[in-house]
Amino acid sequence: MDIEVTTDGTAAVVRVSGELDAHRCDVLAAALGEVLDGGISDLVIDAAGLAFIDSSGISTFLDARERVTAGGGTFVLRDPTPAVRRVVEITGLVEALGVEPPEAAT
Amino acid sequence: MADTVILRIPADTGRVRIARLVAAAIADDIGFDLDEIDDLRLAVDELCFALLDAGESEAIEIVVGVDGDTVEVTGSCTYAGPPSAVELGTLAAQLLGAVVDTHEVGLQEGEGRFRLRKRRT
Repeated sequence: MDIEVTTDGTAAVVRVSGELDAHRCDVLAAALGEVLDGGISDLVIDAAGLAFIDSSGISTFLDARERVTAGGGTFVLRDPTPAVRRVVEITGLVEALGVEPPEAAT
Repeated sequence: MADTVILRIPADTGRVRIARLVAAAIADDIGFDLDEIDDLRLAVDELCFALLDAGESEAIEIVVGVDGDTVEVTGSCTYAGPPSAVELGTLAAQLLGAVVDTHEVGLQEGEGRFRLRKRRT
């Protein structure tokens, strides 16, 4: 799994690629915590390169989203791959995780 | 099962990826589509981590069997000490209920064990 962070003022885009499972979610959680500690209020997770996610990865996103929204900011999960979108849809979290676009392209 | 692959991986969370890859490759071999392959990968992942979360062990033995259009995966591990409950979290249980036809996971005779079945549509 690779993580790339781009910040612009109080907004950040975190690009996550590869496979996000219970072995790797602590690394992402630490990276997101560091980003949010830096005063970021609006967080975008770019998931266009994320080939796999499991329940632990979804939980990591939910934790970050909770922290962001508690501070009045926004959380977006952008461009999930079909595999990631399917997991988000099954768990009923499309809206909660601010998935963009909200529906898969046909 | 007419066609069986046996895999033994160290009880290291970093090695679960190997189990996912093997299950996915076998599903691909028998004509599962991409969504079905993703589903099987996810199910194997969640069940392997459920076994590993319950306690220290040396290895997980995974058996992937093919019977016609159905893949059956079983996993087992022996713990070094008394394990905690072998169970799925809420999200994991929700996912498994959606991506495979049947699944079960728990402790049997002190061993952590799981079994899943998924049929090609």
